[in-house]
Amino acid sequence: MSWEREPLFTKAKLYFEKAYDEDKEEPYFGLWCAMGLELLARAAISYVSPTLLAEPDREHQNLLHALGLGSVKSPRKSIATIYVLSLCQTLITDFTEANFKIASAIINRRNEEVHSGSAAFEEYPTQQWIAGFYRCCQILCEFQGESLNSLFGNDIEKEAELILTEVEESVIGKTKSLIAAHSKVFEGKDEEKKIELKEEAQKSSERLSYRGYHKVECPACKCPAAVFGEPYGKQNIENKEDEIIVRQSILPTKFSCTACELKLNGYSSLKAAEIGNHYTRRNVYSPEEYYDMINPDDSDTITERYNELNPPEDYGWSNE
Amino acid sequence: MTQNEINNLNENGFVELESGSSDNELIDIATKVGKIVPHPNGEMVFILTPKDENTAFKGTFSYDHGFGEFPLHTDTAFLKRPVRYLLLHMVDKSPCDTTIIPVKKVLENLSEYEMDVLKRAIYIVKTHKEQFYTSISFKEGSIEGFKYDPSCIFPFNKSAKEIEPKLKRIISEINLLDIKWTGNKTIILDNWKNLHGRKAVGNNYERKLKRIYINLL
Repeated sequence: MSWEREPLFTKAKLYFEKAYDEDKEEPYFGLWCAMGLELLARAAISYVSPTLLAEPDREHQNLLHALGLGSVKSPRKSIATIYVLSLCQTLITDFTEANFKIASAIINRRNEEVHSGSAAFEEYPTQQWIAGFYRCCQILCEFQGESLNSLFGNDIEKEAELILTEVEESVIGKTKSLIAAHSKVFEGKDEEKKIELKEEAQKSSERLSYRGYHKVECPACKCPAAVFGEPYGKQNIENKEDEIIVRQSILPTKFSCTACELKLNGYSSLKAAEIGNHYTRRNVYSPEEYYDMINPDDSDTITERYNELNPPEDYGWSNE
Repeated sequence: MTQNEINNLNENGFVELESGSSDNELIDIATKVGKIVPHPNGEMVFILTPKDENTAFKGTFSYDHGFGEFPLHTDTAFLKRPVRYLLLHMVDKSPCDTTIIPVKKVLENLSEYEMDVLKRAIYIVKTHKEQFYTSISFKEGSIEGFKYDPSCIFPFNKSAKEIEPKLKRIISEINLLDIKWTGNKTIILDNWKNLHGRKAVGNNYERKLKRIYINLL
């Protein structure tokens, strides 16, 4: 079993070649694409290290295989695809939850196709997943220093780019219309109401900023609003004398404005609204909080923790 | 090894230098280029001697070609990542040349269409241990490499089957650079940028070639 990047990427190319030998409306197109996508995701993880593809086991036999030191007698087992996709989300900044969902959906269809009698891809038409599929392929390729061209060749790359551009333009169009509509409604309100909403929005965004949200100006009504997102990359931890500061990079994926009620979902929409800048979330913990320690003078917490670990027999019975 | 010689290696993919023959001297040169990759038996310096078809191990060039000419190939092409550099040193003078062609010259002979076919070509590596898919034209970061060895890498998809005869023809038609082993000579070869082979041994059965594999640090 080979977990190195290059053979995995090459095999993904081969499976996509098989896919494009089929008509796009045929279920085999979806099946080959799903299998190619899985290999492409594994190649991306292997780019970080082939050891990440080894299923953890007590004797580290799989890890030894990944390091090229495994015994011929011991079988090799790689991690399940769902964990591969989770790792992609953890390690690849651009591989957002939306990409995770579409990749999982395609690969689940592949499971249904090969593990059951269902015609899984007949029920899942290509047009429903092709754009998301190309986007996942683009992200996974770029992460490992490849491109849609090196994966698919000139013709399919052109088609993929066209579909991705159309999707992007469509997202931009929809986002701009949404912003314009909310702006119009907000502007239609009387001045007193606008001031009141702006003040409430200011308070709300202040409160949210303490809960990990990031303050931005609403693209529709220009009131203070907040974005929220998905963490990526490693945490930057700073140990001070009596506090621990944790900084984490965030990719914004959700926006909400309390003043004009504009809501946007997905990094593409936020990017289209020009509020997609990545930001850093800063959390300050006491050493007790961070290391989950208990102050020996805090008898209430000690009792609470003891009861959690050794619940009394009547625990919960006195609840109303 | 001087900085000038290292620059030569980086620019031309190949450098010839004068040196002694002791293992220590050769190891010293190799470590200036990169990290030595030991032979699976642990030896840093491996000695290659001519063998006939009957005494050679299966899967080696000697098994297939004996004392005859060795075809042009990439060393360790059976690995997922072939070694980057080869240091070769002939202990005594030898009339049996090592032959080289730069990959650049092979690729220059391909049309734009053929280059595209090459990029789409998928080969299969078959060894006694494993089989895996590979591209003979590969990229690692910004470095482009090429691996070719008809004894263990075989065309698999349509593009590979289309380009293989063309590659074979080009490789057979390019003028070879003959390395004359005149004594005290060491060569270092970029294994990703050159193919190499060996002329027929003739009567030079005592030919002893020292080889060190080197990867970048």
